[in-house]
Amino acid sequence: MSDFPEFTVRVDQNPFLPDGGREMHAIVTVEARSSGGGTGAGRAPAAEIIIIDTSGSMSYRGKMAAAKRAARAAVNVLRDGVRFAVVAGANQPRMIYPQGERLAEANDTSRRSAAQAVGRLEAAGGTAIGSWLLLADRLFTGYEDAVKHAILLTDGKNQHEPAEELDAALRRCSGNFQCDARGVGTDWDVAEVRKITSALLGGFLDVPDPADLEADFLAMTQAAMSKEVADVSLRVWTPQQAELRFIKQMVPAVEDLTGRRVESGKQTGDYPLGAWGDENREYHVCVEVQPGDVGRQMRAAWVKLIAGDEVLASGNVLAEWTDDEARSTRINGRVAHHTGQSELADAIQEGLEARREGDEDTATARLGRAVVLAREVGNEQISGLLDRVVDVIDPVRGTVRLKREVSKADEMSLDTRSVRTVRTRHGDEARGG
Amino acid sequence: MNADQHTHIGLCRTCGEPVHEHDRFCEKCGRPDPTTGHRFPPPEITFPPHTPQPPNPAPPPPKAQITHPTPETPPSPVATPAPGANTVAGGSPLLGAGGPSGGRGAFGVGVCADCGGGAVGGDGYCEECGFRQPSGREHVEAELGGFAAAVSDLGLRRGRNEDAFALAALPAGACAVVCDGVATAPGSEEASRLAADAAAAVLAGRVSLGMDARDATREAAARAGEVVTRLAEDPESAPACTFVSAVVDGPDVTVGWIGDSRAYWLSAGGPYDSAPRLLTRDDSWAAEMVERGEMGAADAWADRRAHLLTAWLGADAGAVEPRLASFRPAAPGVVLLCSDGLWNHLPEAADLAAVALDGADGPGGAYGAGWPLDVARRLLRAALDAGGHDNVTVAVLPCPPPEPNREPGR
Repeated sequence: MSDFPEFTVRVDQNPFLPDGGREMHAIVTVEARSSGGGTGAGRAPAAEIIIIDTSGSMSYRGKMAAAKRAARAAVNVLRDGVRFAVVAGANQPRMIYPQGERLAEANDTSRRSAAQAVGRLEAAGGTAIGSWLLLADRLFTGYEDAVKHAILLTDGKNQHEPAEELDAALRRCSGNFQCDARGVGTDWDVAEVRKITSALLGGFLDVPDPADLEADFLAMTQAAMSKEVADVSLRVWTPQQAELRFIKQMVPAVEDLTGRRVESGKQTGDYPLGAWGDENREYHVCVEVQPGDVGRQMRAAWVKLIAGDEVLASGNVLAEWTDDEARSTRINGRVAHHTGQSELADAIQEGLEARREGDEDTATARLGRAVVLAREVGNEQISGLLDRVVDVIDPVRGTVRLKREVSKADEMSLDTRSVRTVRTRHGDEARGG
Repeated sequence: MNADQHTHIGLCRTCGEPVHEHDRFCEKCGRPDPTTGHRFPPPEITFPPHTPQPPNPAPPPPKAQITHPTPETPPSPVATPAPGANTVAGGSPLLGAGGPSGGRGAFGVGVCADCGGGAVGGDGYCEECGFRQPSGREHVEAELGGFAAAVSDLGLRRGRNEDAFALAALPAGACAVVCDGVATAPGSEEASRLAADAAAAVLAGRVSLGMDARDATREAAARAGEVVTRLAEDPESAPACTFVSAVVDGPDVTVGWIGDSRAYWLSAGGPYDSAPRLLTRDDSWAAEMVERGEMGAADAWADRRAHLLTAWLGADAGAVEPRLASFRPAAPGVVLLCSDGLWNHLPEAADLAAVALDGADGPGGAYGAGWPLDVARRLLRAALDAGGHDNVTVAVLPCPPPEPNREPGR
């Protein structure tokens, strides 16, 4: 745990505010460069739990067979020494490998045994995701300093336990481990899976074609194996009498972190970010400050990336009041871009919600706005998905007509991917990832 | 965007402009690889070694102490000052919150003037209300009776003043040093202040002991270079500054420089070497091009590389020798030292002289002790009126100096 990756924090903003201006926006980019030469061989101890939905519906359309292949692929890329388990989820969770409530240590033998055990998965029963997560939480107990990660595959709604039980489970598990989820087929609930992964600092995607699961699980597990530091937080200092209006993760996906604040000292709050590997993420910070006289400068926020007591990197959000309108009215390009992406996600989710409720006027207006925003921020994937839900009449003004026939998979895909953002660009060079 | 911050990968080491990740040249001054330690133009252009001179043995560390006079005991030149005594370090007597700083930051540990409760961090920001506190260097004035005066000002567009000056009395005159921090990187404002203080102390000490002014200038520049070099924590972020000094010792004037801070002779006119003129030759890309006959002055100065420094003080500068010029003016006038914040707006000596000598009294006449400071203020005002986008620092030394036994205005 001593060899952290090299973290850098960069702040993009226009620091100039007009006379009396209060609201300061900035994009904080956190980048970690592995010190291990980019091999992806993480140094932090890791624990991985693979949870496969084995409810009855998994037996249709080859989903179960695909899930088995995916689980085997994930097990096969666990590096030696990683603690792991495979869990089957139905009305109750069941240990598939190892036997008994514990984690096994990955090596050639255990990987082979786990792969064989996966072959015995059978689809029968219901869906009670809260109980599955609670088992994972028990299994992870005792591995406090490890990068703890779960993969959750589901194909249905959480029908076999009360919603309160799922909420209680999320409260219990939150902060203990991270969970990425995949929804296969079209019978699962996007909002529900979004809630689960959001609480557990993970991401989720729709996998309409079961055949794609294997590659997806492989990538997820490899990403988990590449994490090098387990629990990173963003510590944000703000001036007295200032208010942190919001802090949102913007890359790789939109995630509002504002409500996750843990007070960590006078004028500082911590926002847990989970584990980090060789990757970068971007955050949109908005602070409301007391205005200063023209010519004055202020530190509007001081962001520090911390792991334990160690400060890994830091950056300043500054404010300077000016009477030069040319300066104060300039909008930083990256702030504008992320503001657009955030609004895009909202417009899609609200538009689809209205559409489901039969409110066609709202749906048309919001999805029309989404068409405009998707073009503006250059999110071609979202533009393509919107084209399957609406007929675009005027892409500049956002005039659209709702399609009569929309496949369930397309609607879910648009909903799921509404929070997936494209990276901002510096100069003319697109950033990778 | 003059706020120092982390919105960019760094700031141009020449002009302080924020530099974006993929910028290969500074947007403002055109410096290549603006955030790295190379201040030289692109590799296709090579310069001859800077002012080749026989290497001097490193000077012994001066024993002189820089003293900061308190406001109750204003500095006054004495006939035979002790080495280094009576050095007026620019800014220190007037430093704001925290007073003269003895540490690395320009900001002492003080209490915030805005909220009254917060401690002010080393970067000048209050730890409670967040407001940045004045460093005390936004506007600094100092004077040595009628012997010398100086002003340094933030200018109209910069967030901090990285220029510094120091004045010191001599047995028969005064000396002054102006340094311009070339980087907005942490440490450069400290670099210019420490360099100016150290150089003035060495100059005053050596000249008072009878050392030739040219040798004293070399030692002063070497000492300033050591001080700045020591500030570097790593070569990639080495603080750096320019250097220009003047010694007015009786009827004789000696100036020395490294970088593009300038010395001028300003007078009402007279025979050739009494007329207003530039005494220094910038260590800059444009000046080198013109000196080597490769470009005309107009073309060279229009080039975006014009202001690139070819010599400076700092850990990444290597050993540098100041260039020197000495003369004995035939008619009264003033020696002007200035940072580029002045001469960018008023490059011509005649124009500077017109501003400087625009008063009823003048050098050689029965001017009052406050006259040099008036001159310095007029020059600063001219720079600010012309746009004043950079820090402006001006030091003025009348020559011949007032008679020590009838100190003017006192």
